[in-house]
Amino acid sequence: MSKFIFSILLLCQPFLMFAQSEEANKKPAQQTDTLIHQLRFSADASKFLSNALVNNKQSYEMALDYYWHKELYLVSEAGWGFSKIDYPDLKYTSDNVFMRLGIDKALFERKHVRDWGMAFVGFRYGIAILKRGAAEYTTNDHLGGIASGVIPSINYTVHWLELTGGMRVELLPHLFAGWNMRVKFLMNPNASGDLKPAFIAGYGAGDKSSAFDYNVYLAYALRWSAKK
Amino acid sequence: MQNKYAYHMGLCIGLLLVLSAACTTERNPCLEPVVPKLNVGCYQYNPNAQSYVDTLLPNANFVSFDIDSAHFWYWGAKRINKFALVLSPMHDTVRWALQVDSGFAQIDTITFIYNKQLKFYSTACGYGYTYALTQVLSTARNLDSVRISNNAVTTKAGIEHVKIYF
Repeated sequence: MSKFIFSILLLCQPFLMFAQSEEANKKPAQQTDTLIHQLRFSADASKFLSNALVNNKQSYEMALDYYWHKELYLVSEAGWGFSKIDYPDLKYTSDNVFMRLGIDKALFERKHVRDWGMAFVGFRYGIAILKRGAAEYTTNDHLGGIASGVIPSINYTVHWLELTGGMRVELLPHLFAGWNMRVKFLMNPNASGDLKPAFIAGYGAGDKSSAFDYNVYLAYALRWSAKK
Repeated sequence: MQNKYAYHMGLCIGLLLVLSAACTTERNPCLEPVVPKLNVGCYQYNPNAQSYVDTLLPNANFVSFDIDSAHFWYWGAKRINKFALVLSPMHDTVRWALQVDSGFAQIDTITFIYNKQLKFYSTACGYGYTYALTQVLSTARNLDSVRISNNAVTTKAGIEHVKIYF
């Protein structure tokens, strides 16, 4: 599998380099900071890979960012997912939708008005609405006797804050690839009671109060001029 | 700038894809006990010391009646004064039989009455039960009395729950 992945990366490398040979614009960005608006739609390609590899959890994520001004981007991200626990002594499912809102700040000032590649840091506020289905359990007490029962389903909301950083590169005009790394901190880890969901789409492991996550995005940007 | 972006981005995307490939959701192993033990200690009055001291049972049998069919948990256990018994999540009362010396001693029965509480340990370990002893009854053929010293029967180690006096 790793050989396959590295082969794909090597194949992608020429495209990455090709995109860099183009000097898109000749005007300093500072003078035209808000003359061109950009709205970028992104889909997380890594989730399609992990969904194919892992059969007991699935998630889908999309993002929308808009260039505001002074290397600041307003970002909205959303998605959905589900997970399934199917152990001999514990079975339940959970699903959720989520949204994250925040800002990205490019680390370097753009040299040209159409130089939209960037390295950035940012922060997010995330919220997810979850439903954990009824859980069937069997105790592992082989000495005293094995008991079983059902824990009722529950609906609840979790909130988290996250720090993120990443890169975007314009491979072809309007077409981007990039990644984000994220560190997340759950604000209400006890909202679900004892039995946590195995996975919260948009956040990560439901039984951890902090989480690490990443995204690999493919994106398309819409641009328009504000004035002539 | 763009070249630098592309180079680093290619490397990082590669790493992330490898992470994806390596990502599994195997269940973590359960590394904590999930079956509470009811710890019983045996004591005898020492008139010289004017206090109760540990007493070793010479050749003890400890048999459960109600958990399953009669089951010998200790069979001819020599010179032991601490016993780890279990309660049952299927009942709220269990009876045990204690024979101090399997050769000739009479048999006493000890009845543990308790409330049970469902407890979630972790996703790795699942659910289990903890117990709160409410009463202990016994016959007095060989033993003198029994007393609850700690009624919370959990997986916490090193706690004696019931004292048996001879």
